Amino acid sequence: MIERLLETWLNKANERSFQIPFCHWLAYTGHTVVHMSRHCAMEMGKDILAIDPQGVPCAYQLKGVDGGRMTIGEWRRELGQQIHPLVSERIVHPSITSPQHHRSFIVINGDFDEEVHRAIDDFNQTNARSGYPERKVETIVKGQLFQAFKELQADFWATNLHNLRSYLELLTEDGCGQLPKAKLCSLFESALPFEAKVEKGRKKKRTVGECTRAFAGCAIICASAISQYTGQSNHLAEFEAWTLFFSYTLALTEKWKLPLSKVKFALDVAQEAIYSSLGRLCDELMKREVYVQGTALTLLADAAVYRVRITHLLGLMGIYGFWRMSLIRDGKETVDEARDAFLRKFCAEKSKLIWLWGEYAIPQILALNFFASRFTPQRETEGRYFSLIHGITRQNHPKSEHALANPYYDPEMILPHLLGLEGKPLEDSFAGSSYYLEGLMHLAVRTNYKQSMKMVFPEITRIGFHSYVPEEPWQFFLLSNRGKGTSHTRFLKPPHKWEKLRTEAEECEGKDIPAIMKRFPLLYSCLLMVMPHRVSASGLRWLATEMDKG
Amino acid sequence: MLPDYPKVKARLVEKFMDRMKLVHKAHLSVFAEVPPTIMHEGNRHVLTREDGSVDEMTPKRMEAEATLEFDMRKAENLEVSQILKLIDTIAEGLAKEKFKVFLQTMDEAVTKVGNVVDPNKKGVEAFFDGMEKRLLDFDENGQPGPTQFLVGSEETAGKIRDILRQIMETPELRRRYDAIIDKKREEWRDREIARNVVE
Repeated sequence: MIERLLETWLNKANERSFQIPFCHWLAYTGHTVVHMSRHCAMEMGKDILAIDPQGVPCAYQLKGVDGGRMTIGEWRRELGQQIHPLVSERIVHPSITSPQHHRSFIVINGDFDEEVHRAIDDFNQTNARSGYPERKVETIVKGQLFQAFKELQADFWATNLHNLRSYLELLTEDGCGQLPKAKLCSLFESALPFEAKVEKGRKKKRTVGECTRAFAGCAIICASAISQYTGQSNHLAEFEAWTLFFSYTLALTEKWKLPLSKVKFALDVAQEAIYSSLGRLCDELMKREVYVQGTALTLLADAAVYRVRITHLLGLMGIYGFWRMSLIRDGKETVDEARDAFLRKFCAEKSKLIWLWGEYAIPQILALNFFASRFTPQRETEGRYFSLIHGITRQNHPKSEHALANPYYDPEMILPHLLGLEGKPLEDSFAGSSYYLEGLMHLAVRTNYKQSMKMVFPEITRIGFHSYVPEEPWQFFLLSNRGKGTSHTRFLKPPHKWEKLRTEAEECEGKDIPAIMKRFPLLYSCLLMVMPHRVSASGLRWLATEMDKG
Repeated sequence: MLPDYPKVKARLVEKFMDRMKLVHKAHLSVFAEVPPTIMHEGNRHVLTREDGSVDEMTPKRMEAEATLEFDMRKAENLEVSQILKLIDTIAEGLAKEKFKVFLQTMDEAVTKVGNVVDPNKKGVEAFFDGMEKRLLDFDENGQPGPTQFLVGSEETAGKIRDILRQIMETPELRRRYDAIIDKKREEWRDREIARNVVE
């Protein structure tokens, strides 16, 4: 059964889908992975660069084979042109300093036809006869990938067959909608050893080795479980899945106090996957003239969700734009005038369509703002904090019957109610409280627009600031902690002195977020996009301070 | 297994639940107006009020029982009225439990801060004492918000109606009543002013 599932995924997977699992397998077998392709429009050259345990540089070209076998025609059409540069062109990468010529691999999730084997052999023989025996193509095919992946995730399947259903449900999704985050996270929670190991009746802490292997297995589970979404180029789903993977990796790291250096690979690969999904989303937006989605009647219905989508896209492009700027500054990303101009234009023009439909949308608007503050007039981005405060206080006042849903409610859950499609009322009330108001109030106070703040402040005091504090720091990174931790509601106590507010607003230690999270400010912004309920006023103040630093 | 029809049964169960909610609401009386809030995470809730007082709440489990006695061998004879009776009993039981918890929580809260009427006072004096101790909100025009009394019996409700009538018809008592309202209005104004940012 397990083998059939793996095989089914491998058969259908495109190169993006098995790239991350393959990287984890390389790392597991002692390779140092130094580069992986983003599969974006601007990406050129080799998909993966690594250094093998003997110190030899290796270049890998990945190819998804639809149907399982690569014919000679497909070989010539799709890979023939790439072989020569893969084999002959010197690897240019700061981490690869060995003068030794690199090994070149073609990796496919299928098999080669006999004619392809002969073509590869001819290629290698010709190079050898010409005096370049090192310019040789090696192959890794489905059977080898299958064995490797099976080995890495064996522990998961052996002990978590009850999760097979969630896994199968994800595999059978059409991949076009929203990612079922709870299902994916239930797989992560089973795949990662959060419980202590019991040996001879005594509880033992999990070792670094156990955890790193579990990360590799979990990455395979993640990549395979979301393969339908990857196949549909559902960039948002990929962004969310790898952000959750990143978060769960931090959870396990925090739980067992693992050295960050030991989990660096898993975190780096996840970050790369998150960043590249945003890059591909940007590619798609740049190609499109309109941002509607659907066909026939669903296209007509699109108008109702259009502004929800645009608000979400603005947040995603805000993070991407900001991330790009940081990478370019650090010399890790190339300048692309057209792309950067598009991002600025998109964010500036479409921000008129922002819809505050629930608190879930607030981190999206904040992500846009952090990026936009780099190129739009300050009064516009600072004014947005006041607009958000006004929106929350207007809609969530204690007697409101149309309050903004709290950040536990995503669009699929709340839009049916907002659009009048749900016959039964929602049995949860949001009036009189807000998760984001306190943090937004502090960001607004930082702008020093005292008179504007004085105008909105009385309404702020009517609303309880809501927050959740987990029992243990590692639980912060889980999607949900039912029955654990403390939820807080706090009303402001008068007198409300301006100087005191200023002092509170300037505080930026981020005491309510785990220390390990503070190593990755941008990733906290990503995490809030996926788990908006992990907000706290101190977290927002810290994030805004870090974003200001750039 | 025997042939089953889970979809239609699920819809019926949904209808049963709708009825249960309706009956439950009816038995909750004034507390049915308290909007429900889901605790998405956590096992306790800490509330910090405007006056700085802190209260901690932990979710309480409520249970209600009802028994439907019928012979499984005569399932075809089970009448709708029997099912509805069962549902109504559970709904009423749960509502009573919840009602008790509401009263108990309110009682604990007001006792803790000494916000209870002096037991030695009776009639109009007890009523004024209660008014003095309650928090009253006003609208933008300075008019007091609606007042609700939760009483234990029809007899008590009648007594309160009589007291109110007596106050409205007796000039001296009316003056005292208006004075309390004026005082409450001032307190409300102070609270509203305190909402402002000060230097």
